[in-house]
Amino acid sequence: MARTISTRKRSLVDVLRLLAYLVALLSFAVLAVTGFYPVLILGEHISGYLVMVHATFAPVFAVCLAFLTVVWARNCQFAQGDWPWFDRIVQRVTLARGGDGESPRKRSGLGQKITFWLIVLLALPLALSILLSMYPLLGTHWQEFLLSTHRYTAYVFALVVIVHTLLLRRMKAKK
Amino acid sequence: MYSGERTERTLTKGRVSAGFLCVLALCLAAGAARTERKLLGDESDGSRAQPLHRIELLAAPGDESKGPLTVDPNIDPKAEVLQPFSTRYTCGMCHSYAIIKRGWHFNYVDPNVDPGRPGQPWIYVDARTGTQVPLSYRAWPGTFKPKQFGLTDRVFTKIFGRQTPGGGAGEQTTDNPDEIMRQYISGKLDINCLSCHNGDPRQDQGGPAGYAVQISRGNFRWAAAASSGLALVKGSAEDMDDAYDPFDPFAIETAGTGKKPPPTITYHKNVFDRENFVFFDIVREVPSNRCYFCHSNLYVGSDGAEKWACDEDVHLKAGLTCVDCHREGIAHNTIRGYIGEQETSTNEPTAASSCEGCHLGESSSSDPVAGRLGAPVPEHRGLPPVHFERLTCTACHSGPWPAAQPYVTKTSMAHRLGTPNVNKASQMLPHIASPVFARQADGKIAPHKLIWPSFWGVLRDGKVEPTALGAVTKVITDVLAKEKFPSSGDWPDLTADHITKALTALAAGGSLEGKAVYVTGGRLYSLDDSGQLRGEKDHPAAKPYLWPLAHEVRPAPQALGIRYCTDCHGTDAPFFFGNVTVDTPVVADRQAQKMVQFEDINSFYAWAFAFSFVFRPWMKIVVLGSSAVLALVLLFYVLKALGCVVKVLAGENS
Repeated sequence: MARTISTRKRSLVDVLRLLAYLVALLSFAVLAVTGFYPVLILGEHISGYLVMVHATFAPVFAVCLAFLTVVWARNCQFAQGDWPWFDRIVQRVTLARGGDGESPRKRSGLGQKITFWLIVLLALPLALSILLSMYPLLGTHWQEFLLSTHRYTAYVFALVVIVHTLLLRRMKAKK
Repeated sequence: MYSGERTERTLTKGRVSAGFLCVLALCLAAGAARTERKLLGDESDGSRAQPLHRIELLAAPGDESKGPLTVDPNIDPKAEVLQPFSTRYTCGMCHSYAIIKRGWHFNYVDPNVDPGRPGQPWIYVDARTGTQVPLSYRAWPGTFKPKQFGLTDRVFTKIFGRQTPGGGAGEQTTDNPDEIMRQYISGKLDINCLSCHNGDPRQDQGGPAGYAVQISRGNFRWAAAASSGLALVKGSAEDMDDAYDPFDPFAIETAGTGKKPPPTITYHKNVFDRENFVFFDIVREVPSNRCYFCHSNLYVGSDGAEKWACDEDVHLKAGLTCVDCHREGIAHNTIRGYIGEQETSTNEPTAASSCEGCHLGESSSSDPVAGRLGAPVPEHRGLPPVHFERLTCTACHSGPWPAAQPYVTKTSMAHRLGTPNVNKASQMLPHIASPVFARQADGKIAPHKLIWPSFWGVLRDGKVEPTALGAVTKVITDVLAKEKFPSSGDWPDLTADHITKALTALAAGGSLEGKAVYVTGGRLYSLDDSGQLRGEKDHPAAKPYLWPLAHEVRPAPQALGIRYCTDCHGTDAPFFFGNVTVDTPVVADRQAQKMVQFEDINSFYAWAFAFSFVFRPWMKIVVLGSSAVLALVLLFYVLKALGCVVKVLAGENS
């Protein structure tokens, strides 16, 4: 009985995880289009209906990202075998005995883990830069700095998300 | 080949001729420049002290080809006529009048002068004919030339000269046979230097015998002297018949025996010293009080409609005067102070004299120029920079705090404030509304004053030509003879029936080439073939005229947006959703338009954007909460990783 409940619970989390991931992907796509289209294609600042859509999807994306971070973080911990070269350096420095070397299966998630943590890391300046600008704390010069921070962090963030998604897809395909 | 040679020869000949013409033009220009010799007061020697003005008074001669007359108070009045001094000749002894008359306040009659940003028009009003039109000699889109309404320079000066410093239309030589003698009797309205530069508190612009009254009496020649505080002028040139000669003592004596006295001047005692010189208290920097005579605003219905309850512009209270920003040299090329003016102005500090010029510093300057005159450099904390691209500084800082409906606004020039017998009723025409937030030619939104034109005209080839006021008055006054006109000076209540009758009467006159129309409240009324009245909305001729307002600057803690974004981005914020009443004598058309219509912004978009601010605090909480979770997770695993590193470095096998 306990086993049945446990299985059902896990599947609910899985469903939520999948749902959050899909909503996050959709939100990301909307945010990227509404954010980059006026700036990169039209050469203008984001404004009009685009800014409204952008601001509507931003909190949705933030919530999904926070949820996914919580549920994925444990799986994306770096393990000893993720970087054998580092392990070897440490062994030489400390003269400690290392493990038996990692199998290729375990090393395959490294890129995914790095991009995951990069996403989490970049999400902070991305969200906080625009959030800070909404409070009467900083003057025009800093407002412009915050907008630039938001913009350039967004470029890197988008690239990392795309790489992460591709790696995830490749891994799924391999499985 | 032959043809080519001929063409080449022709071109060479052309080049030689063009070169010769250029050299000739340069020589002529150099010669002209040499003839514009500088007078004593044209160029400063660098002293900031005020020069003493103890000078001889000179009067204009009857015959302009002759030299000026020296004013001698001891003449025999039976042999000579005591003349009013002329600023043109008296001040012109040391200051080049020809240069000064090219200045902004006087050059409006010159069609070659760049009109610049639309400014305040003169507004002709006649409630009895349902007329309210913005007039200007300058080519400001939406205004009409006085000539279009049959107003000659002389008539224009008589109506509006009261709040000008003279010159301009007032000193144009008339070629109208009906007005040649009138101009000889009245004289020309010279530039009245004293209107601005007289530091004497007796300078009388709006008193019962002051400048404005003298102009309404047609005493153009006497106006400057009468207002100077040095003399008293009685009588009216307007009352004199065409045969009257103001330089003939006998004519004056004869006219003086009649009921309507001729214009005469009496200089006050002790004005002249022993050498018949007169002291003028001339100030180089014009006091703001002098500017106020023509440039006062009254916002009826605002909390501070009364002067004592109303704060002045924050710059004046900080100790600046009007001329600290609106600077000019001997050329009197006044800085108007708007962004972009430097592109057409030859006045050097123009770029540095706008809001940005003082507060932010001129971007093109190599030296630091921000904070001129002690101007604080604004921080604009929390204000997204996009606002600087979309709005002028004045949008948030100038005029009264916007209300649900723009204020009925009175101005000196439109309502002759400060002159005798002003109708103080709030509904006195013309009806100016402000602040109306509208998009300017440069694409930015700025607060404006607004007036809806109302006039009778003729529709020809889709264009409306105004009908001369004289012709309109005759016809329309008869049609509206039985109507009651409010003593407040407000519109009479017109109906479709009135307009139908009036248009029929105008058409019946037979002198109109085209269809008689009435433009009012944004509509163009005309009669169709069956004689039925039809009103066409949004006709270009019926568009309101708007001009930017920039003064009554509020301090930063009273700027729009100081409380929250919803000062403007609220679903009922006046900035977007204020109701601008359509002003017209036609009762049925007195509706309102939303402010967004003047801003060229989609009404739904403005509302939706404003509505999104309802959720803005929630969005902030959600994003902040999510960021906190991300930060905590990150921190947790960073610490965990650090623990691993510490263990490894400590030699523990994890």
